[in-house]
Amino acid sequence: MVFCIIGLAIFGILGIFSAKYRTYAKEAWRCLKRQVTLRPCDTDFDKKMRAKVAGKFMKFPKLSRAIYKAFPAFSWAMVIMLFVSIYWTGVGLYNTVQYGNCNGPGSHEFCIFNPFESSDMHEKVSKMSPVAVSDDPSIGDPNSSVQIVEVGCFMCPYTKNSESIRQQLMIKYNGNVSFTFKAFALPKHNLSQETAEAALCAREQDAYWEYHDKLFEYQENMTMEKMSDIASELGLDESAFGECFSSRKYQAAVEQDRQESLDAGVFATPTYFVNGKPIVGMKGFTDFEQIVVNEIKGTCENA
Amino acid sequence: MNPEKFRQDFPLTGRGIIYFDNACMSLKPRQVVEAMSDYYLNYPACAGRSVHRLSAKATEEYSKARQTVAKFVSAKQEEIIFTKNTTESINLVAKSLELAGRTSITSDKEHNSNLVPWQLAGNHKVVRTSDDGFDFDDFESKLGKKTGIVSVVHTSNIDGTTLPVKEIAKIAHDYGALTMIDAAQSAPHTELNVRKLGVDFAAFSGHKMLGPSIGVLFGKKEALEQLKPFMTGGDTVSRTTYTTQEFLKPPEKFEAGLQNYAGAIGLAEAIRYLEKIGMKNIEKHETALNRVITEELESTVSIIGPSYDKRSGIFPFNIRKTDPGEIAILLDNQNICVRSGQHCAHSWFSDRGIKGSVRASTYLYNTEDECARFASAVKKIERMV
Repeated sequence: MVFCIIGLAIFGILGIFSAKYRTYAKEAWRCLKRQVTLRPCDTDFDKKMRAKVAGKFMKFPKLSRAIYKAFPAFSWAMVIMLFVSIYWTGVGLYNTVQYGNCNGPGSHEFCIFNPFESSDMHEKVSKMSPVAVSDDPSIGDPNSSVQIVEVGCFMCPYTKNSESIRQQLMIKYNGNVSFTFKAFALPKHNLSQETAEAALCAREQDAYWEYHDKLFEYQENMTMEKMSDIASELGLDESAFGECFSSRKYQAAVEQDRQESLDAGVFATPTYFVNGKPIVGMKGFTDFEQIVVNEIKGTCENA
Repeated sequence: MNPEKFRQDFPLTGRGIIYFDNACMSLKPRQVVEAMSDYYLNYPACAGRSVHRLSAKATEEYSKARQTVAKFVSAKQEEIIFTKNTTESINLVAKSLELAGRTSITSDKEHNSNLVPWQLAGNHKVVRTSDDGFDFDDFESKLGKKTGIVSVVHTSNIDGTTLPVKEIAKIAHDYGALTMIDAAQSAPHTELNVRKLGVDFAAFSGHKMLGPSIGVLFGKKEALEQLKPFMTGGDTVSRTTYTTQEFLKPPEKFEAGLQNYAGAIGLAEAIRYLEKIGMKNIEKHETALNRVITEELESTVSIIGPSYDKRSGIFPFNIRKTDPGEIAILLDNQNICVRSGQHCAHSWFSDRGIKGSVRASTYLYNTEDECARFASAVKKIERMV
């Protein structure tokens, strides 16, 4: 039965490409099904495979004998490896979706597939220049040694997922880090322009960061009404907020922000500029922390 | 007999493959393939229907084929019916013979093809056999006035043993029963004289005797007259109305629809090929090969059946409790083709509690060198498993 499991996996995949292997996959499936339902396997699939594999090495009698005799143990090993692989594949997928890196938060390891790093990404990053931050909302000591500018979109799930990094950094490195958020209204995301404008309306009432956090909190269910509801929830002057928002007061400012980001070479959100050095895509906290620490050290050494 | 003389007629023999699955299907010589190609390319017409020259040629060749087959088994032309295979030949008799409550008897080592049709015909009895032969006491105890037919295998596909069908037929006739033999494994390897054997029906196939897939049913004229039509339609009747039909006499009565003319022509060519070599020579050659294999392997494997001289060209064996299918795959890896399993004789294997066997079966084109290489491969596998 053990080899039926591994046989089903191997020949099931090979069967996608060649009909020759579909028969084996069917045999493995039948064998597995029968044995799971406590009936004897009537295809002798494992024995056939054992003979086929061992038979390939008949020119080396000792080796073929060893394979033949150790086939059950070999099958067990393969099945265990299969399940371990499935587990780690699942973990990798989870990490990729959750943290943008298959190895999980804080890893520096290489990922074969990373949807956030395209092949020409390095070239694009190398062409980036520090983004202009004349009047964008900031938090933290403006004279701190590490100035982080995040270019993000309120409706981008990756930007949302990286929010916790900012919060952790601001707590852990309070006094050493300042943080600026520059809205980049991605046209592909519905309400991206509107949310950026609404946040600037909230800024008029000194509630930018609170509003900013709420926009991410309600990102999945965002509507025009929701933006007004958030203002109400935060105790803002609804009339002033409504007037600001409905008049599209900050339409041009948001568009200018986007243009400035594009001019700096930003091509994805979130993009960070740590003391002007670009970092594209989501990173784990540990990764980011390492960059910040290096910047703090560098500043000290230069001082 | 020197097989090297014929091997060039069988292209596969020159490709490093040792073909030892002849009890299942033989190789075909070029002559047979060419005879069939000749039909398809030069006169691919209906026999016995149209009047044009191609049809006339097809009719002539089909008729000649029937004559050749009849002569091969010492029968009359009208006693030869072409079928799809041995199985269909036996089914033709089993379904067409009106047993009307009478019993049928088979041996206990029948191929499913000579077991299931009789089981379905009802009132079926089985006679014991052993390595020493047929149990005549058991046979006589099962015979009676109500015995309709005794149908036994001539040469067994399990172990190559040949039953004493002449004696069986004589005793069966004493009780007024008809007799039939499944000659699928004997016709290709030994002289098959239905007159001398005294049987009423004999069934065999072309594909085991250098020919294509086609079957033959020999039936004595008076035995065939007892059979109802099997399949009916075109070519089986001389005249019909909306409510009646007049059947032709055998063999046409049993050959419904367009026939496998190329198959019959190919079989006739195969028979000519075999007769040129001589059936006695072939039988002797196979026994000699079986001796080589048996002597090489008798201390290594468990052989099923009696001594080599009673096993025709069949060498059935097992290696301890190793699955026969595994051994066949391991042999295939060494370019040796054999059969494994229960060889369509599940009843015999189940009755003896044997899972199956590996069956190596030789034919006229196999050589002693191939037997030695086969033995060496089996020994290698025995050390491995």
